[in-house]
Amino acid sequence: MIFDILKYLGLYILLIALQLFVISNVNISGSFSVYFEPQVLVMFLLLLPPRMSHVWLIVVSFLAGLILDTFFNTMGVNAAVCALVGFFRHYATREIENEIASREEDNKIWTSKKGRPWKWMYFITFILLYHLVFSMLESLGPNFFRNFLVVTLPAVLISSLITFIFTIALEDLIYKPTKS
Amino acid sequence: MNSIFRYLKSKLHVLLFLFLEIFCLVSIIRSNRYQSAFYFSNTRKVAGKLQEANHSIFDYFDLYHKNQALSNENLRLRRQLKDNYLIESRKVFTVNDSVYKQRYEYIPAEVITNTINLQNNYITINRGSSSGLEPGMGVFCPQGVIGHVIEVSENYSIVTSVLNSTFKLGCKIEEMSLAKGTIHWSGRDPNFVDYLEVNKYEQIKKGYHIVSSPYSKYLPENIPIGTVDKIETKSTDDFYKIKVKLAVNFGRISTVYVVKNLFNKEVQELEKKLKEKAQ
Repeated sequence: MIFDILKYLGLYILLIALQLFVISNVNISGSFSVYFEPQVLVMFLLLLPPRMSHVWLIVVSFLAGLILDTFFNTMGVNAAVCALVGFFRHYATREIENEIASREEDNKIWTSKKGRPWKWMYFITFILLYHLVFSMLESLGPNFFRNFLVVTLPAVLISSLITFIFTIALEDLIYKPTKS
Repeated sequence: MNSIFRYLKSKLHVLLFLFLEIFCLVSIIRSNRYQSAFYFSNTRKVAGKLQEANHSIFDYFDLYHKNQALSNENLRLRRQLKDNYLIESRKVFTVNDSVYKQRYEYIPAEVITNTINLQNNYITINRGSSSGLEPGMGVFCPQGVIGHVIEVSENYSIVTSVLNSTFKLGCKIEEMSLAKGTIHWSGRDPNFVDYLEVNKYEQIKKGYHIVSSPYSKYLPENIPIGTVDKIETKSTDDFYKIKVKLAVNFGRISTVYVVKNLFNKEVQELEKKLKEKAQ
């Protein structure tokens, strides 16, 4: 149990460091930079154990977003999006919860065992949801409607694709198939 | 009563979710994102330390550009030195008996976080109220205008960048000595801003320099903003549609100066008196 908590804490720190030290330092000059805003924290929310209670999932997601907000001066934006993803993620993983409730080991790295189509669909849906809501909340201001189709939507698609590739790579990296 | 509690307990996740979302949305929609001073000043200590570590690593790789910017600024200042000017006539000399009072003071600071890819970009700098910073102070770097201070903690401050949809600044066209119009970022390209409210009868040309207006309370006059890049006119509109290429590359800023207007308090008190009189 404590080992699991430490593992997820490690994953969280790794993703915050990735966002703070790598992604925010990628200096794309010119007009393209407004389209590059991958939010890798969504990986943490998607890889949290499926057996986590709904209330805990919302609380942990909210806190994870709130901490990220303090680093990026986006007070409340990440927290709102994380709580939203945490809330809806429960409905996507509810079936798995029942399916594997009796097997403790399946609670750890579980997405790899669900098969590729389900896994990709699950990742794509929530990554798109995260980026769409994040970009909309973040761009609230006088230019919101004028820029929605030209900047916000392309930025959501490009950043989601980058985050999706990151997520697949990370999930493959931490999943070690056991020899049966 | 029991059944009500049981019902509420069964819907706890929905209630919690709604409560958290409303809390976040209120804090986002309120124009002052950092309304919670307690939260800000306490979390900033931890976040600030990490951001500073990040800055110190990546700052090293930017030393070349930083040096170049500073040596250019040195050159410009050296050109203004008295020693460079020859006194042509010795017959007549004027005695300048005016008393000069210092109007602005500059506080140097380092940028520790900066975004350019969001629609509302902010910059964190490593100087706070302990160095005399206050909300509203102007910020610039050797290349040009950066923004203005929006929130201050003891050792750090948040600056609203020019690349923020809420930022507006009065300008002057240097070649025409015409103080007119404001700049505003459209949120599309971090290298360009829109120059608004300039009448079509003004003779503006491409390449003209846009600098800070003399009427700004927070920035000295003639701080570079950018150069006119594209001028569009519509027959139905009374104003030009001007695109200005920013003088500052916002992806590369590292050393900035915060402007302290020493007469700001006096001006504010005067304005306050006028308001009270009007009421």
